[in-house]
Amino acid sequence: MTAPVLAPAERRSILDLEDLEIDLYTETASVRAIDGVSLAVHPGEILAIVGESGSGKTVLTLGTLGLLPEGVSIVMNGIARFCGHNLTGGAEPAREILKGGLAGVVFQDPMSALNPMKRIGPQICAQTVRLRGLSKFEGRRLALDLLRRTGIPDPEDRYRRYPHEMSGGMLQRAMIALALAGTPRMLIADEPTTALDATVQAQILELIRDIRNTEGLAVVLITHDIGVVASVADRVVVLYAGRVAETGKVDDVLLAPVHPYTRGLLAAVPDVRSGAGTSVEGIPGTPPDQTRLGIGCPFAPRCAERIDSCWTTTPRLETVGTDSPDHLAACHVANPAGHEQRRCPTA
Amino acid sequence: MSDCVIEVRDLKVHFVAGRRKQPVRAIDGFSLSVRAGESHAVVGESGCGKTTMARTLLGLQRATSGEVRIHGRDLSEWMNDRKALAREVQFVFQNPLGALSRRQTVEQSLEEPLLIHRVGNRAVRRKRIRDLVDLVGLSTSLLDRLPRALSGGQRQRVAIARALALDPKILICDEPLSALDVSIQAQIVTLFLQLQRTLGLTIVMISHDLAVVRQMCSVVTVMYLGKVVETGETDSLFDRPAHPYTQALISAVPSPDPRVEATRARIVLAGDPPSPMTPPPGCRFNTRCRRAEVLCEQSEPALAAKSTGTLAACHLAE
Repeated sequence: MTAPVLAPAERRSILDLEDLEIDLYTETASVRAIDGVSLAVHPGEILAIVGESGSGKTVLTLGTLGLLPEGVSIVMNGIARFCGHNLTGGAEPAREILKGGLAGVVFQDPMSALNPMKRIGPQICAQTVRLRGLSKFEGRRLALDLLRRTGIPDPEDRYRRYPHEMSGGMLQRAMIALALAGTPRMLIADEPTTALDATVQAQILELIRDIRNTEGLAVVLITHDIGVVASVADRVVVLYAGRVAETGKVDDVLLAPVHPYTRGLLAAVPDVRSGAGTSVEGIPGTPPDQTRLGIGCPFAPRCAERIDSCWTTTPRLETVGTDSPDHLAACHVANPAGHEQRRCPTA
Repeated sequence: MSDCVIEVRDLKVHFVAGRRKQPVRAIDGFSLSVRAGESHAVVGESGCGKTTMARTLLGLQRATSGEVRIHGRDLSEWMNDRKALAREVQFVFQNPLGALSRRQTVEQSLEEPLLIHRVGNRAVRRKRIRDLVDLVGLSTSLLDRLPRALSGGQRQRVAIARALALDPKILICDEPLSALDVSIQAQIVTLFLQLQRTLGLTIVMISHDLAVVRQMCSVVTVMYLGKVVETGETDSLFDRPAHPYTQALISAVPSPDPRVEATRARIVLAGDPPSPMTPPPGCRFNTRCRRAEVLCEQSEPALAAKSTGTLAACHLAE
């Protein structure tokens, strides 16, 4: 198989996915949400996963840890390992990881993680007692320290506050403190700044960067905002219809995108720093309906550069060029190497 | 000014919340002039009063004091003839599902305003519906669909078509793009720009997304805690912001270009905006401003022309 090697093998990865497929079942429908994804997350790096609604970014990260809404059942095929735990073998290993505090999760909505009936501090303290086996006294001290480290002013006072007494930005900080209460090796942040104002978003991104630097954590950042990717991430995975369209270092992918979907996505993003006369362009059409799986490239119906083979064979993720070996794309047009017989059209 | 289609003078909207004695000063002395044919953005963070401002313009919210004129006529006069107002001013909201009935097909949704305003006969209305669908770039094959069978982008197009059914001169849009994915968002931005060119619409766009505003709008007004802090032509305001709050707001938006992100200086504002129940004395931004001086705590700055080409309410900006 051509399971891509995304980084030097000497660095032990924390999360390892190889050719992972995830099917979701509800009472009425089934969806192939993830269709053969391979990636690795290493300590101390921020990996961004970008894609539009329904591209599978949340299923890929939270789904593998069993954190999906009730009533959705999930079947995984392939390999998914987190710090040596095999995640495909059932719900038990994922529960171990979360119970052990090995993975911390930050959601878009802080109220989904915090109990509105309890004061902030004791919630974090209880978590440190549960996850680290500390005494209540030590737990309280650590909770205060975590509040301070996540940039909450006057932690002694905030410790006694209820969630409704704090602003959105402060709650997001408190949730990050809660995610750090165990001894996490990885932080999963699912759209952590989407509900926040721009100035508060800037504060939280700064905090995530700081935590990565001081704690050496791996961070998986799920986002739809290319600006957020450019601002904090080291590497990026672009998902489309449950498949990796393109991946690589942020600079490579954002400055020299090769997949037509990535290029379309970047052309659609407005830049506050570019003046009049620059225009954005949308990608025509809408993402495919994943309840009906077809063969071929999932982006083909919206792609301006498609060739005949895009309809008939699903492109594999392959290296884009020799100078950046970890820049990969799944596109027949971008990777004509394996398809010499077909000429690249100049559309 | 006579060429202003919307004029707001010293508008105040205060809410009395529950048993609390302090009113929430959602809008506290706000002025706005929108000229015919311009697309005017009102930007600011949550709680700054931008949505309350839009609701007041639409007559959905009563003003505590101040004056709102549309086409030179006072809003209270318009309120006696709401149908006439509806033919002049229409609106597009963030969530198109909230604007469309889930039991009406696209065709029924688009026909409803025409029926209410007794426009033409059945044949004329059918023609108009087809024109509208065409105008917003939808296929006529969608006419008998229900909203739930449409994608988010298509729904927003239907909501825009419905808003345009009576051929209004003014469109007020409250975060019309923020529920959409980027690739779809860009389609709708293009649509708005096209509509404005072809129909000569005046657009007031309420948004928190500065990058989209820069693309779409010719004039920008920045709000903070219910007041205008800066207003001016889009390019002057974005390239040479005079007010420290505008500077911080623009600096907070990350660039999609990693080379810019690696090198640019960031202004990170400390803390949160103060409560609109107890705004600070003097300049409302003085509690978070990195340049604040004693003067800023004592007297409230008025909007004045600055050398950068914008109007800003700041003692220190030149």
